[in-house]
Amino acid sequence: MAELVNGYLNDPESTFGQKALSELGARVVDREITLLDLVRLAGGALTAADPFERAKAVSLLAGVLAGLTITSPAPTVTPINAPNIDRVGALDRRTVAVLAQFVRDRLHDTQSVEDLLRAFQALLDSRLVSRNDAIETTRSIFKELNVQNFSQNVRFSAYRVFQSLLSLHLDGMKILGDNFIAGFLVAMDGEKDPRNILFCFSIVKFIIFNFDISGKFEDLFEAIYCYFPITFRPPPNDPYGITSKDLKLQLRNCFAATPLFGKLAWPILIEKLSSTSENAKLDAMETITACAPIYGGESIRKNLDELWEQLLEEILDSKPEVQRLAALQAITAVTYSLSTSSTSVSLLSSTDTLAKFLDNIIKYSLADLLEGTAPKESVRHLLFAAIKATEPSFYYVSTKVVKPILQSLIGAVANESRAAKYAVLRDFLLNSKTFYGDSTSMQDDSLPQNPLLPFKEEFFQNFSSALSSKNEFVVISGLRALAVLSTLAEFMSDHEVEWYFQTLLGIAINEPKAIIDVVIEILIEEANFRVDKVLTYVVPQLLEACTLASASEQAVLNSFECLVVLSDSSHNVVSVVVPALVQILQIETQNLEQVRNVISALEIIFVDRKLPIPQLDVVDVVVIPTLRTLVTRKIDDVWLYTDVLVIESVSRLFSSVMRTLDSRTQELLASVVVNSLFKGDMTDLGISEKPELAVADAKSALRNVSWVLAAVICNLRPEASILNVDIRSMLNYFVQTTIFNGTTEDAESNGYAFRIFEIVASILNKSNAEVVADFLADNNRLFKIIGGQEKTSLRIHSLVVVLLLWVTRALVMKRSSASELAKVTEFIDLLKNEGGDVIASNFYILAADDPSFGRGTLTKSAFAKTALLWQQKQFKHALPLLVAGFNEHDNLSKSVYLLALSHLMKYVAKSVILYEIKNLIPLLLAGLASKNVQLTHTILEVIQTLLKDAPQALAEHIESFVILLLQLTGGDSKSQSVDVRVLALKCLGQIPKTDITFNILFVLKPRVISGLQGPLDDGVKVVRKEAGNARAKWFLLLGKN
Amino acid sequence: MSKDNLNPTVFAVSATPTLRRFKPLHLQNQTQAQKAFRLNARPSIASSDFTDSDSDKDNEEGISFIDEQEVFQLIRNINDPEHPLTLEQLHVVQQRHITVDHKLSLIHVTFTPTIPHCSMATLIGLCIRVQLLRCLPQRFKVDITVEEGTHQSEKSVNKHKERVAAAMENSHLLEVVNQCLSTAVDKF
Repeated sequence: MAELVNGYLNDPESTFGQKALSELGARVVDREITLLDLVRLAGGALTAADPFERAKAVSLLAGVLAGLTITSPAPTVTPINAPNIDRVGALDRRTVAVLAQFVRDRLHDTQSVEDLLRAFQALLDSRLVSRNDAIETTRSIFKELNVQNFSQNVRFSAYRVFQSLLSLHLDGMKILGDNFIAGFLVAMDGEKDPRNILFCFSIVKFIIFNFDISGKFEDLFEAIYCYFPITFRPPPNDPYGITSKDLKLQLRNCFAATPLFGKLAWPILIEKLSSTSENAKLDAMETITACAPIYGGESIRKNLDELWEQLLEEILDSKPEVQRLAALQAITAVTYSLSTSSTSVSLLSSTDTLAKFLDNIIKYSLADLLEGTAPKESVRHLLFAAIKATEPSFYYVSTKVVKPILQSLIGAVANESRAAKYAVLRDFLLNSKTFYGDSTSMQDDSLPQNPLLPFKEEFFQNFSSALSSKNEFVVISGLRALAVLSTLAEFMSDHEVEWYFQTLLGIAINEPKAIIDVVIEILIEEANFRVDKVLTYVVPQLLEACTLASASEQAVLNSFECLVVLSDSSHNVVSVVVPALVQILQIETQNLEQVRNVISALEIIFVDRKLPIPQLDVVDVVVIPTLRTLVTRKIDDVWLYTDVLVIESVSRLFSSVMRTLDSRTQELLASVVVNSLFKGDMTDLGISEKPELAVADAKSALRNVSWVLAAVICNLRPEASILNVDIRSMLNYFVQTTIFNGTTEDAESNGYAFRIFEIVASILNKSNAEVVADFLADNNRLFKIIGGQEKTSLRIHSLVVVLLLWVTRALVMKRSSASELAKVTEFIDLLKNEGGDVIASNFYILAADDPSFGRGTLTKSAFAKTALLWQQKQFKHALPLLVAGFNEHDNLSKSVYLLALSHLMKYVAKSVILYEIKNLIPLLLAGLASKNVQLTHTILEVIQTLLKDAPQALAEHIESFVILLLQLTGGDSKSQSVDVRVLALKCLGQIPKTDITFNILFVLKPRVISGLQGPLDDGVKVVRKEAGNARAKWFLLLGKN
Repeated sequence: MSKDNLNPTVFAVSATPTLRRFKPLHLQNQTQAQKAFRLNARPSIASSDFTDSDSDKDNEEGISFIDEQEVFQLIRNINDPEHPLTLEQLHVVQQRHITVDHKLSLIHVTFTPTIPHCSMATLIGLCIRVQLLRCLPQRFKVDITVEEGTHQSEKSVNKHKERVAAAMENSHLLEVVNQCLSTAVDKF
């Protein structure tokens, strides 16, 4: 035993010392020895002459004690210091009392203080310290310790002890009362460490809440106000993560902890408002906002005028927004606190503090509103801040301001002024809702009468006449005001409300865009607030306007716009609008635009919708009627399904619909579509006669509808199957008809073939291995064609390439294993052959996030099965092969490899490219210098993202890139395409903002600036714009940020 | 530097038109659809063929001369030296105060200081001039004047126009100018 003790005392930090400590701790826990035995054993050291020796002995004791409270924490269920608990683990009351005495006796021993505090903390944690001991020890700490003389750690321990004392022995500390407060304030006086300051602030707050501080509040305030306003910049890598905001908030909480601080705090806060530091001002205003309601109105009385003047400075339009907001909030808070302390509203006299404060605001505002030609935004915000605070403040201001404003509106008024006044009146109406209720609280008699009610005629007259103004701003601000007015109880008759909705409707259809935007905003609010009115007065009329022959084109478009937006805002509206639109679609009309618009509207309503529309049977209500219209309607002797715009839109509509559905409804929808379009059985659509050829056939007149078929099948969930169809023969049929049935090369045939390819790829991606194996075996001929073993026409070869690329993508995406990746290798091997350019230019199918240009085929949103990181794996697999191909071949083939690679690079995560950047730089440069526009374009896109995400990758060779980019901007010869010129300029413009070292870029600056002279005079506007922007940015490259 | 005009009037800037939700079909997704059609339409194209349709079309349709709006775009977002606001917000520059004459290769910009005794007027003029020197072709001569009757010392402000090169030698002045211009990039 003595060995262990001596072992520790010799070198506490060593491993042996630490082991000895835990061993001793364990023995005490096991009651092999008592703590007092331990004290006896260490006795010599405890009384040694050398203070460091003594400190070591104390640390042994503290270490063992701390260990004890961790291994056997005090039972938390028992009441704190319950007298019946005498023992916790190895500790009992008697030992604790002895040890507490020991701590007290030794506090003068400076070297041991840290461990003594640790030991006492452990004793406190055991909950066995008696109240007397707690009081006595606290007294000793105050007497013996000058806390600020110690290091940050020791101070922290001391504050922790104070905190534990307060939470465990509050009664005892209250007996100490003012002495405790004084002692603590001395202890924290001058504290500078942020962690400790935070701790102290929380203790101060605790004291304020729990002690009688009437005798000491001045001292308490003195201790905290010296910290105001806090400025603190956290050191880098601060382990505690304390921010300046934490400190500010804690300090502010202390300020706002008691009304007693009011008289002391106001002068300081107001003084800080005139500080030159914007930060200090901001802090002061935020503190005022927090404190004013606590301090109460009485405390501000003396400083009110000064406060008003300072705050007024901060609300001006020219101040930064945070500043203005903080000042306005402070005004609201001050108004609030003045209101609560003043007498009742009716007795409010001009001598009252609140009235005095509000009079300042009123005077300032009226001067600007009534005399200025263009009233300032700040005035409006100021009034708003004052009236939103309380009912008395609203009442007082409104009785003094509303009437003069209304009077000033009589006769000729400048438009800007009129608009501003309407906005102010609207604010009054809006706030009156808070205090006097709106139309929904009509029966509530407990609310006082709205003081604005006597003016209702004037309001209505003004706002409604504003609508016929020629000035946009007047109309808009009149509209907004009217919208608020109509929601207030008793301000407008039912008849007037009806008129209001009809007016909204009229504007939504006929007015210029800026005003319509406001009306739509209002209507969206109305759709949530009183949807019944919108459904009665607005929606049916809009639907009618959509089909009105006499309406102007713009009016019709506006009606559609409004319907689409309203559908977005409310379930009730959308479930009315969608069936109604489909109804319009079914009207036999010769108006192609109308049909297109309805379909477009339906599409937009469904796009981005994540969930199905409630209570809407989408198959019966939307899908079947739309499909029937699509295949049976003829307009001006042209079938609707030949209209590419319509077909594309319907296909987008159907894919959006599909994505909202669960797999069962999907199966249902798919079976309707497959029956009618693949099998040619249109009974589901209510069409009895069978069309000549099934839609899915390449020669079918209806083949355009394959877009729709693709939209449905490509968006099936993996667990949804296509009912009543043999998948294997369906796939084989598709291959046969698209590739070998002699289609001609035109947009329609290609559109058809590619949609079918997407279907094949989607099915293979979501099917099991057996289906895939069958497909590959059945269609071996395709591989022979691209391998060159079977000679075919160029067209068939190209089609096969595209199909097989789609199939490869589907499989690699599902499972990027070696066997699937081998298929990519095969394609790369074929690049050198004749027709390699076709493969390379279609490589995007393998890599793109969405290879179907926005339709989402084989993406996650179309429920494709996706392996983790498949794009990366594919890239890593293909990169060495493509680089080798690039290096081995002559110039002509080089660009083929590069093109294939550029497609892969464009879509892979930039971190992967970064990893390989050394090998890629020469290739990127070669791509920029290439004559192949598609290649250059793709490489530029890659460079653009690299400059954005990882500019350092290009830093080393930036000069070469800059030279090539400048060549691509066109300069004197406009040889490059506009897209390439614009992209090259965008890349150049990005460079100065990257973190590439200034030294490198500065050398290039003159060259770039003179090189961009040419593009500034480009014939095309977008190019000039980008050139100007890029050049301006290079000028701003000055080497310091 | 004390501020001349502590509380200038801030004007609502007509927001750039927001995208509307509803679009008639022929305007919707046009580029995307066309691109899809074009690429898909000719799967067999040798990659060099790809260019033609693109550049031909652009060269015919996209050609336009520099106009007032384009010049306005370049200067509207310049920051006022005194306030965190743009020249457009303060109505210091307005599109109707810009003229472009292609025959004479002359661009004339008139600006309106916020108050008649604004000591910043020269600096604002300098900022506008520097920005236009940087972003317009060299062939244009740029004239910048204070709107008649809006400044106490109109003539002396207008006289400063030829001293740009000298002003740009002054590193402090250059810094202030760059500060004001830094808000004007990436905005158009």
